[in-house]
Amino acid sequence: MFVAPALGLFLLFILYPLVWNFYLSFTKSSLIRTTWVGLFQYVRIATDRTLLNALYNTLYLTFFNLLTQLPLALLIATLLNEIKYTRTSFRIIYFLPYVTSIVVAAIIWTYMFDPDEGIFNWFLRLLGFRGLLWLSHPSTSKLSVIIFNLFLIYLAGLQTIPPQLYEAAEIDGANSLQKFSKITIPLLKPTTVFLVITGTIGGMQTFQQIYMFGTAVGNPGRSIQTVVAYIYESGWVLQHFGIGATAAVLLFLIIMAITVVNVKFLVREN
Amino acid sequence: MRKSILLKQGSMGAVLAVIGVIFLLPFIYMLSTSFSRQANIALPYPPQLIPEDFSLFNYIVMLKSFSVGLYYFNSGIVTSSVVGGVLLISSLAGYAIAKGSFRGKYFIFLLILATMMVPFQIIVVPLYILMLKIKLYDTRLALILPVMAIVYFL
Repeated sequence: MFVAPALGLFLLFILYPLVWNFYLSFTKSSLIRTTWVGLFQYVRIATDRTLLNALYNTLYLTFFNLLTQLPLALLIATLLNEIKYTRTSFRIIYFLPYVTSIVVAAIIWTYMFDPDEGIFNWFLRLLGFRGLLWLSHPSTSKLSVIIFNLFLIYLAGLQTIPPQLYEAAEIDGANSLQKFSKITIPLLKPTTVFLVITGTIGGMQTFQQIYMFGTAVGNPGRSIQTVVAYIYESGWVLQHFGIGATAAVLLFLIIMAITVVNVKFLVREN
Repeated sequence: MRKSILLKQGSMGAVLAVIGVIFLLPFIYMLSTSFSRQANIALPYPPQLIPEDFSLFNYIVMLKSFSVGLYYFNSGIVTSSVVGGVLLISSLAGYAIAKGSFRGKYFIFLLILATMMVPFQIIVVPLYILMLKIKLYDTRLALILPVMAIVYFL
C-alpha cells in the first residue's frame, strides 16, 4: 500500500522507458518512423569502430579517475579527520565543487584550459614551461578530463571517523603511521569499497562534462567521446535512435558485469 | 611535545590550504572574470584577481537580455517539488520496505538496486516519447516527475 506511489513512478518513468528502449534496440528508428529489423543493430554495433573507441575512452577515463581520486580523497579525508582547527571551513571548501552543477564547472574549466588565455598555461609559462594544448589536442584531452574530474571529488562518505578515536590512540601513544593503518584504513574500508563501486558506475556513465568540453562527438577527434556521448550522438544528432538504444543496452550489460565483479571481489572478502 | 603537535597541525593545515586554494580557484576565477568588462570578448590575460577594467557590464547585459528571473523560478519550482514529493513518497515506501512483510518485498528491493545501474541516457529517449504521448511535453511537470522517480533511489 505505502509502496504504491513510489512503485507507480518507478514503473511509469523507469521500467517502462527501459523496456521501450529494449524494444527500440531491435528497430531502425528516427522516432517518427520505426521499423523492426531484428538483431541487425546488434550486428552493426559489434563492428562499429566509433563505439569501440568510445568504450575504450570510457574505460580509460573511469580507471584513471578512480586511480587518482581515491588516494587524493583518502589524503584529504585523513587530514580533515586529524586536524583540530578550521575543520569546518575546509570541509565547506572541499564540498563546494561537488554541489556545483557539472555544466557550470565545465564552462569555467573550459576557460581555465584555454591554450592562449587560460590560467593553467599562464601558470606554466610563469614557471618557464611551454603551455599545453589541453582540451584542444587529442594527446592531452583525456588528461584534462581526468584533472577536471579530480576536482569533482566526493568526500562526504569519508568523513565518518569520530575524532575521539584518534585522541584515544594518541593517549595510548600511537604515532601517525599507526593511527593511519590501525584506525583510518580499517574504518574507511567499507566506505572506500562503496566509493569504488558507485564511482565505477558513475564513471561509466560520464556524459555532461564530455558534452560541454567536446560536444556529443567528444572532440578533439573523438578522443574523449564516452559511450553515453555516443548514445546521445546516435540518437539526437544522427537520428539513429535504434543504434543508440542498442548501445545503451550494451552499456547497461557492461556496467552490470563490472559491478558484479566489483561486488564479488571487494565485498565478499570483507 | 606541545611544539611537535603544533608543528604537525600546522603542516596539515598548510597541505589542506594549498589543495583548498586549488579547489577554490575555479570559483575565484569565475567571480573575477564576471566583473571584467573585456571578458565578453576575450579572457583577461594574464589572469587578474580584481580586473583592471572592473565593471558590472556583464551583469547588466545578463539581466537585460535573458529572463533570468524565469530561469530561477523554474529551478526553484522543480527543486522544491522534487524534494517535497520525494520526502513524502520515499518515506512511505521506505517505511513499508523496512517494517512491513509482504510478498514481493524482496523483489521490489532487487528492482530498485538494479535500476541504480541504469544510465539516465538510456531511458531519456523513451521518456521523451512518453511525455509527448501523455501530453506532458514542454511542461514543468515533465521535469519534476521523472526526477522524482530517479532521486527516490538515492
